[in-house]
Amino acid sequence: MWMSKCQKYRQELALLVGQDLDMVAQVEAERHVATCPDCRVHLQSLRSGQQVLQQARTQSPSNVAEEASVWGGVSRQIRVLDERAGRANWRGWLPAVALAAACLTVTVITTDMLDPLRLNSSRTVGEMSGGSNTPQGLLAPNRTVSNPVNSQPLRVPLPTSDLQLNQPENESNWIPRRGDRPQRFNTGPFRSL
Amino acid sequence: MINRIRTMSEPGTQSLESPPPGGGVSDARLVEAVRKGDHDAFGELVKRYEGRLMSVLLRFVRDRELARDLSQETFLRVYERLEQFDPSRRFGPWLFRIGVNLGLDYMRRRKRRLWPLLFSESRSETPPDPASADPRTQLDLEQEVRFVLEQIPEHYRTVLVLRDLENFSSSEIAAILNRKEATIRWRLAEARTRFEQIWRRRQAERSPEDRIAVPGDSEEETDHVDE
Repeated sequence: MWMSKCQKYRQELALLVGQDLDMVAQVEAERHVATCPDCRVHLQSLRSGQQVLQQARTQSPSNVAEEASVWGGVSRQIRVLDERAGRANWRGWLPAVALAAACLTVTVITTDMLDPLRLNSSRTVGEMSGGSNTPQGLLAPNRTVSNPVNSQPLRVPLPTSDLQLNQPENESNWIPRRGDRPQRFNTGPFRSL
Repeated sequence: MINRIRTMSEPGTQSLESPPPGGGVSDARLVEAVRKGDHDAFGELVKRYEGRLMSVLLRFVRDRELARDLSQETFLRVYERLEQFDPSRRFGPWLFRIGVNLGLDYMRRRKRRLWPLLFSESRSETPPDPASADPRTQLDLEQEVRFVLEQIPEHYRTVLVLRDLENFSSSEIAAILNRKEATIRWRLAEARTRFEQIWRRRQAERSPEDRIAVPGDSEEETDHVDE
């Protein structure tokens, strides 16, 4: 019972030597030490050890204040970090920018490929609306060529066989789709025109 | 009992919360400025803490150049992680936590590297020559303290170094090591007891003339709490 009480104070004595106890605990520990010879010896040893540490504290590590500041080196490395971070930010946007550019390119190309067909079709429909028995959706686009006999332009129908190669059967109102290849309009005998 | 702790600042303790010399801008404001891209504000923080950080790191690694490199590394890590810092908490302990962890990691790595060398077969196992002088006699107090500290387990040693050699308060050590203050006090008591035991044993092994004299040790006999 007595020993356990001492054990309880041993820890407090180790704090007492470094002034790490509050006033109440300090007074209580000192009161115990005054009545316990073993704890008095223990406290004495702890104080010796504490004095060694105190002396080591004042001795070393010395002259830290004389060291040149590390800010120069830190500052340089911080700039490198910031540059890397800037590049990383830009790289973060890169996939989005690339995707947008790709979408834009596809849109432009698709529009370019489809526009001549639509223009030709609408013009042909307008011009051939009277007198022709060709179904509206299968109207062959005309090309205007100069007439060597008089100055009136000649209207030459494009070969419908070429058109029919590309269009699905039994569809009178065929509209070109993405997979279709309108370049084939330029094939045949009028390619050079 | 251990939780009856001293809450006021200990005498001689350099508090991490104390305002900077000359009453400059607080750490929190400087951190805020750094977050907005002000490099000079970070320079101010570096200059404010580098001396103490160097001193702490020197206690662990014992090499000035290495301590300098580690302190530079600490500031870089602090800069990189500044977005993660909670501004409602104290900046100093957070910085020292990063620094102390770097120092301890370095020591652990070095220990792992040295361990095989210590037990390699190439190491000469020459017994000490009784005729030659004890090499420990050439050690000064600092080296002897270092030797004793190395005998103490790391989690006790770290607390002892920060409290008794670097004068941090218990609450600051708790913040640096991310432990409860009661845990720190328990470890501190244990570390002091172990240091004293090892020191006493080392001194007892020495001849009386080789023992390291500590000023105030002699009057210690009469200076204990009797009155």
